This record gives sequence, structure tokens and C-alpha cells, in this order.
Amino acid sequence: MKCPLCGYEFDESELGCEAECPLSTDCQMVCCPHCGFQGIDPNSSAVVGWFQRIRKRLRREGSPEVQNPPGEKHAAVPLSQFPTGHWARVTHLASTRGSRLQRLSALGIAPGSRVRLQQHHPAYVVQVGNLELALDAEIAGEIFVTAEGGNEGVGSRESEVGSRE
Amino acid sequence: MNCHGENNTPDDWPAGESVILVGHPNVGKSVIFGVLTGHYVTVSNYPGTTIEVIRGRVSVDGRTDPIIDTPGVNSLFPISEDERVTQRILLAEPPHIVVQVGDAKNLPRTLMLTLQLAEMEVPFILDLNMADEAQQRGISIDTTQLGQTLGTPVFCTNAVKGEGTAQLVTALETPRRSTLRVSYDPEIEESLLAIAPWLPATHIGARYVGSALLAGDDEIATWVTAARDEEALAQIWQIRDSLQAHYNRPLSYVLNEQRLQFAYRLADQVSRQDSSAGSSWGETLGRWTVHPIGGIPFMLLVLYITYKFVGELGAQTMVDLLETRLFGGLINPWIAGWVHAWIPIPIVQDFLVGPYGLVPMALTYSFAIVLPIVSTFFLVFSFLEDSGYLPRLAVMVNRLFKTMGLNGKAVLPMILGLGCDTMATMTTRILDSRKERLQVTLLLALGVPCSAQLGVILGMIAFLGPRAALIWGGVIIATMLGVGYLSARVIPGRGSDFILELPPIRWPQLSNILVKTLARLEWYLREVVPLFILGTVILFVLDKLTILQLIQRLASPLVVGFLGLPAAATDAFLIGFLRRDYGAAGLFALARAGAMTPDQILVSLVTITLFVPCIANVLIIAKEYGRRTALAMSAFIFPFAFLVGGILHFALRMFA
Ligand SMILES: Nc1nc2c(ncn2[C@@H]2O[C@H](COP(=O)(O)OP(=O)(O)OP(=O)(O)O)[C@@H](O)[C@H]2O)c(=O)[nH]1
Ligand SMILES: [Zn+2]
Repeated sequence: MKCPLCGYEFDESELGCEAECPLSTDCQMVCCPHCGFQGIDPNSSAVVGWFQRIRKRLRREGSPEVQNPPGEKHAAVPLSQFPTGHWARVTHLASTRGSRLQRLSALGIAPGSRVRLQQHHPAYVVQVGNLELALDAEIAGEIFVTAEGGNEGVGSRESEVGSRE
Repeated sequence: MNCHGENNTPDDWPAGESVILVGHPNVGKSVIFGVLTGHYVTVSNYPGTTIEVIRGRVSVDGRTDPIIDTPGVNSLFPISEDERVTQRILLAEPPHIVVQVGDAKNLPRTLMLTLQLAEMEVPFILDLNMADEAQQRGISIDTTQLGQTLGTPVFCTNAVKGEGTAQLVTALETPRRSTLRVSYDPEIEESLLAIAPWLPATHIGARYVGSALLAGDDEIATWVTAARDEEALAQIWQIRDSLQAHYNRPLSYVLNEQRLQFAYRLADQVSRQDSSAGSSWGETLGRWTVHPIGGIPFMLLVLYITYKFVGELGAQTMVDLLETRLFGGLINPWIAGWVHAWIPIPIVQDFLVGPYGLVPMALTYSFAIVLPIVSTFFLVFSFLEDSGYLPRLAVMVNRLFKTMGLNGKAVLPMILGLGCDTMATMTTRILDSRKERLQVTLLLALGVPCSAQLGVILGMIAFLGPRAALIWGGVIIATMLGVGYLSARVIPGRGSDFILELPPIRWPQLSNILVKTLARLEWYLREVVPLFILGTVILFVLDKLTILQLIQRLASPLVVGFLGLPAAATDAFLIGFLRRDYGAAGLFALARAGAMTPDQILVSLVTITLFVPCIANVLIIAKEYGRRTALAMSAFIFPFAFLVGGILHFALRMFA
């Protein structure tokens, strides 16, 4: 805990509020033992927390400026943590449930496929090729992906050869 | 070891005569079926439209062959109930030809299924449908090359416009089998070879049967045991177990994964996507409809428009016109005059035009009250179905449904329930677990008003204003959530994953909307009107035998005392046993006649909404889940509806 006035870092047990204060349990008042400041700790407010979560969420949803993914090229991250709007390549599925694996692969999600996360809320929406799928967060967390770089793997449109009409 | 399976290849089997349509959900199979047979079958823009097998006739080579439209499948190793149906049809008898309808804009996924058909060694052609949407997204596919690789013809079609379908019909005449086989890991290939001798000789290829067994498909296993013996199956399981030891993932997945990767490679060779193609208005709108913030106003907008259209235009303007002016002002008095003048028998007069007579009750209710309401409702509903919005709604409500142990997918049958609970009960098959199917069936029977009833209710609510709308909606939703939550704890079993395909938003075709609306209206007239008449006859007889008065007296503590409604409302509940919407129409007539206070209308509305499901629905529940389940559900719902109504009555009195 940090005093909003003097910046002194202290422990919850050091709170300088009156012990007899009728509000002392569960109140949002902080009393700094260093400077004696008494005020509301914005971080303990449910409303503020809620507000900040929404703001964070919004920032994450619409973040086109984020350049291709954080981290190393080969470090696989769960799809749920991958930035929205970028193509990624599936490295592996971490699920152990047979039916889930079978269903995902039947819909085109398996190592090598290209996917793009479109949104987190109210459910995860993932684009696989030209197909849009809605998924639970839990499942999106089990699909591991890396940023798309180079032409390794199958299903890459750029690497393709062969004649066409 | 004997070698049955080896010298009997599928080629030796006499060809069958039926044409079977298979394909992923929502790729246009039913539209193609319509084009080939010239008969309309229900087409909608969400997966799971076709739940029953549909049969028709198609002319091939001068003969007329049977043609079968099957429920959409994601794989021929089925996971859900409706996928089983399709697999069974393919296993049952050798087809003349299989037509795989696929989505041209999702070639790898389409090819996954093609590869399974190739391994089944059934003759087939591949129809890449929705060519228009593929083109719009800059996808080009070399069908000649794909056809050569597969060894079977490949076509591109735009089924709704009928483009390319003529070639398809010609191709039905020359069935050919595909020679393409997925190359699996060497270990898997070895196991497939080892399994082959233990398989019965059939029209289905050994590679398909073998890989289905490796994937642990129970149905195929029973099928093998029936055709061979326990011994063969034991050998096969042994081969499978030793293969499984090589992999740390279930074999069902390993096989799928390798097939998918094969499909990706194949798709890469024969197609190309020009990524510069911009996104269409449909895609942009599609994003908005599931947007965490934008999605909610959109949902409310859809509700509001529905309400305006059905609740105001249908239930007020049109009903006013028809009931008050046409029937009340012209038809009924005219018929009454005619009957009194020409039929001098009092009881017949009474039967036709008396207070419980056919004309003022059955005909007026069904044509002047319910018909205009359901027409407007079916129009909006068909529009929504075809637009592709419904699966997106599932995304928006997923969280809410999770509290009931369900997932967003369950909203599809519930919304369809607004059309007709009976049909929606059958659509519960798209849900993956029996527990979810039972839960949704119960919720449908309990609280989802069907079109006619909903329309009548909207009309009464429009009459009462927004406060009543909120209370009614709140009570119904809270009741459903509560019952859903409890049923999740009472019904054994587990829920399933939320993995739902979102079809693109499309501008619906006017002709399809009109055709569907007309088909539904016809259904309404044929199925519902006779029941209305039956209900009227029953009421008339009861009234004449003075049993009605007795029932009203007996039910008075419940209806008048507990619910605080006028005794006349008993009639409405009585006919509500036949159909809830008929009951609702009875209440509507009472309300319009000014026989109830606003609070009474509200209580009666809530009670009739939750009231016993209609007879057809009970029968369907009995068919799908057994008579005991159907009885148990009805036995729960009936007293429960009165309980909720009673509680609301007391709450309203307390706060008044
Ligand atoms: N743009 C376009 N839309 C199509 C085409 N063919 C079908 N559709 C639309 O796709 C949707 C699904 O069509 P259905 O025939 O119901 O699909 P199905 O494969 O029978 O679906 P299930 O019975 O649910 O498995 C409908 O909205 C059709 O109007 C096509 O060639 N182009
Ligand atoms: Zn269909």
C-alpha cells in the first residue's frame, strides 16, 4: 500500500486509523502512518476497479497500433493473450479432452493453421481461414500460437505453388 | 487369420440408387436439394436447419432417383447426435452417388470431409457452393486441377442464383470414386493395414472403417461386431491400443490433425486468396453485432423493431382493423343475422353464433387475433433467420447462459421456440450433451412463448405500457434463469464446450422470406385452427352441460382467490390446455373487452406464458425423451405457472 500524498510504502497492518473507528473493517479510508494523511484509496474502490477494467479491455480490443505480437518469434502464447487483429499460427493445442480436440480440428484448428483473434468479450471470436468461430475463454487459452513469420507450416497462403485458373 | 476384407472392395458392390447430399452445416445443402428436386425445403442462415433427413426425387439420366438431404456434419467421425444421422445413412446402403456440398470460401475445411468420403470409397462429386462469396473475398480455386487430384468432378455453384447447378445435374449420371488418400504417419498406415483383414466386407472402404475404429467410433465398432464377431473387434482394439501408445494425444485427434494438414496442403496447391480484397458490409456489420459494447444496443434495436412490427403493427393496427371493424362490425353480425333468420334450431344457433360459438370464438380468435399477429411475427422472424444474426446472438448471451450450466448455443433452439416450441424441441439435437438437451426442452416447455402466444402477449403489453412490459419480461426471464439454474443441478450429466460457427451476415432474399412465411402460415392454419375449433367445441359442450360453471366454481379459489382474476379467465386457462396461444387469445379478448384491470392482465399474462406446453409439444417431448419425462415436465410446469402467477399477484398488491 502506498500513501497517495507522501508516497510512503506501508503494510496494511501499519494503517494509522483509529482502531475504534466504526468503519474500520472494510473501509476504504487510508491513514498514512508516515505523514498522517487520511483519504480514500482509489484502488480499493469497486467502482474504480470496474471502470479501469473496462478501460483496459477497450484498449485491448481496439489496438491496431500494436505491431506484431510481443515476445520472441517462436515463443508460443495462448491465443487468449495474443493481440487482437493479427494473424498467428497455431503451434499446439494444450487441451487433453478428446472431444474438444476432435471438434477444434474438425473446424480447422490444429498445429499449422492460421488464426486471428478478433475479440475477447463477450466471447472469444476467432477467424480460421475464412471461418468465424466463437469460443469460450477456456478453450482460447488452450490454443497456443506464435506470431506469423516466415513461411513455415502448412496453410500459408504465401508459400503456395501450383497452377490455377 | 482369414482374409475376408481384402478381395471384396467397394467396387464389387452393386451401385445403389439414391443420391445423398452431405456437407458441413450451413453450406447450402438444402438450397441445392431444392434446386435438384424442384421442391422447397426450409433454408436458414444458421447451422442446424435440417435436423431430420429429408427425402425427395431427382431425375438422373431419365430415371427418377430418391435424393436425401442430411443434417450438416463437421466430420464423418460424429460427435453430436445429428452428425450420427448422416453417418448412419452413408453406412446403411450403397448410394448411387454422394454430392458433397462444400463452402468454397473455406476450402481446407471442405476438403477434410472430401478426404473422408474418398476413404469411404463411395462415388461422389464435390460441389463448391457459395462461389459468389469466395469470389468476393478474392479466392480463386482451380477446379480442374482439384478434380484431377481427387479423381472425381468438382464444380463451383451459387445455389441461390442457380448458377452452375445444371452441370451438377449432368454429373450425377456418371458416378466416380476418388483415388486420393491421406498419407498418415507410417505407424498409422501400418495399423490400418493390420486392421483391414479383420473388417467385414461392405460397400464402405476399409481405410474409413479402419480409421474410424482407430478413432474409437462406437457405432462403427458395434457395426463390425454385428458383421463379424467379438474376436475381430478384440484384435482391432489391441492394434489400436498399441498404436495409441505412440502418441500422447487421443488417436481421434491425431487422425484429424493429419487429415487437416493434408487438406491445407491440397488447398494451397489448388487455390489462392488475394488478401487485398476489402471487407464487405456484411463482415463489418457482423463485427458490430458481437462487439462487447456495440452488440448490446444492436440487440435492443432488434428487439425494438420486432416489438414495433409485431406488437404495434400486427397486434394493434391490424387486429383493430380485423377484429373490431371486419369481424366485430361486419362479419359476425352478418353471420349472426343470417343464422338467426335461416336456422331456427336454437342449439345450432348457439353453437354457431352463441357466446361459445364457432364464429365469435374459434374463427374470430384464429383469423382476427392470431393470424395478423403471427403473420407479422413470421416475417420478422424469417428475416432474422436468414440474416445470420441468430448465432451472433448466441455470442452475446453466452455468459448469461453459463449461469444455467448451458452455453450460448442453447439460445438457438430457444429463439426458434418463439416460432414454434414443438419444432424447437427437435432442434435441441444440435446441443452436445443430453443434459443440455433436457434443460432446454424444459425451458422451452415452461417459458418460451410460441409465435402466436408471443404476438398476443405483445399486443396486450402494448395495451398496458412499458411498466408492464418490464415486469412481464423480468418475471419470465428471472423464472427461466431460476429454473435453468436449478435444473442444471438436478439433471445429471455435464455441459459442453461453447464452439460455434458464425455464418456471415447476409442480406436476406425476399423470396425466401416470403416462401418461409407462407409455409409457416399454412402450417398455422392447418394445425392450429382445427385445434381452436376443437377447443371451442369442448367449451360449448361443457357450457351446455353446465360443467363449465362447475369448473369455474371449483377453480375459483385458485383463479379468483389465489391469482385474483375474474372467474371468466378460467375459460381461457381451460382452453390453454389445448394450446397456450388459444388461452392467451382468450385473455386478450377479455382484456380488450375491459373485463380486467391492468394488474389482473399482467398476472394472467405471466401465468399463461408459463402455462402447460401445448399438446403437440408434449407429444414431441415424449417421442424424444420418453413418456415419463414428458409427464414429469408437465406435472412440474402446471402448478409452477400458478405459483409464479400467485406470487406476482401478491407482490403487486403489496406494492400497489
Ligand atoms: N451467397 C450465397 N448464399 C448461399 C448460397 N447457397 C446457400 N446460401 C445461403 O446459405 C444459407 C444456408 O443454406 P441452407 O441450404 O439452409 O444450408 P444447409 O447446408 O442445408 O444447412 P443445415 O441444414 O443447417 O446443415 C442460407 O441463408 C442460404 O440462403 C450461395 O451459393 N451463395
Ligand atoms: Zn439443410
